Amino acid sequence: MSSDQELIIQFQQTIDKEAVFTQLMRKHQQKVYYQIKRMVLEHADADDIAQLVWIKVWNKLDGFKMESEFTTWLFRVAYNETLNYLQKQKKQGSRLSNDDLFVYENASASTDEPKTTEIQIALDSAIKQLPEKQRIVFMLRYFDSCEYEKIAAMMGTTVGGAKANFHQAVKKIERFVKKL
Amino acid sequence: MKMQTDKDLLKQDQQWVESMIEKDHLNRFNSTNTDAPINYFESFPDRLMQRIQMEKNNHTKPSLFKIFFLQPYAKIAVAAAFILIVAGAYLWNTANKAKFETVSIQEISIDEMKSYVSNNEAIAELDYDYVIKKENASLEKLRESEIKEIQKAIIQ
Repeated sequence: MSSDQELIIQFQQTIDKEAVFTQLMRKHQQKVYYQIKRMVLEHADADDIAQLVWIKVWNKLDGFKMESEFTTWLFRVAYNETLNYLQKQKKQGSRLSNDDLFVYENASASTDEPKTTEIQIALDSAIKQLPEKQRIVFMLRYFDSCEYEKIAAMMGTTVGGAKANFHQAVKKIERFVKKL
Repeated sequence: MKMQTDKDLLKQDQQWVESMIEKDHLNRFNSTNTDAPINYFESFPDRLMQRIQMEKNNHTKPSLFKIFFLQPYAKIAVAAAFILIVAGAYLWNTANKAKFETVSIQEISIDEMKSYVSNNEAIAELDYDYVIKKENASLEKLRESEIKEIQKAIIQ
């Protein structure tokens, strides 16, 4: 498989851009989608945002100068698009409604393994209630094993800021889980 | 050395999280939030390219006005047209003014004067005849009693 750099150069030089772009998309679409989905949680929202991200990449790729890694830039675009989307949604009303919490409570009450499910629900709830920045830093650091430098570059923040977000996220999750 | 430190730091962070929450729970959370509908990724690139194509087609074509003003010579053409209009208007006005300029009497030849006077005499005569005819016509319409009244008035 061609490297990102080779594909981008091909994209910038060829007339048949669609074929090259599709290759690039196939290579990275899953990671982009999962990064978005961890922030928005709903597939329909994640799909909408993923489309916006790739359309933006299509429009801007001709001007991409390889000063940073393509993936860093790509995830930064995804991160910013997701934040914009969430901000628009917040204006329209809260994302995590009372109905969602009701579902968690009912799931907890009706299970055969109360403790395990309770912890799982509490963890879900804790992570989902984290502020977006803290949640994404936590996901990138814990699940994707990203270095702080890369997280900072992706989110347009400092390494110190990323570290602080991770620590705050873990502390909040700890408090939430300890309540059980 | 730096790579090693980064890896150690990452391990420390992950262990810190796992000391509070079981790894199983964390993994379960991750798997439920990193799933997608069946065939979603297979169909996504095609759907996206279709959308890009559609947006390209729907993107409003620039008007002829915009196309014209995007050309590099457009500004020069507009400036030239403006100058032509202003210059044309100026020339038109000065040419019309020249037609009505006054001429001193010394500049008119005797023949020209004679022809002017004779032409205007003819017009004056024509006008005089017209007035007389008109008056006669109105006198003919008078009744006898009216004529007598006028005659009386003249005698008095």
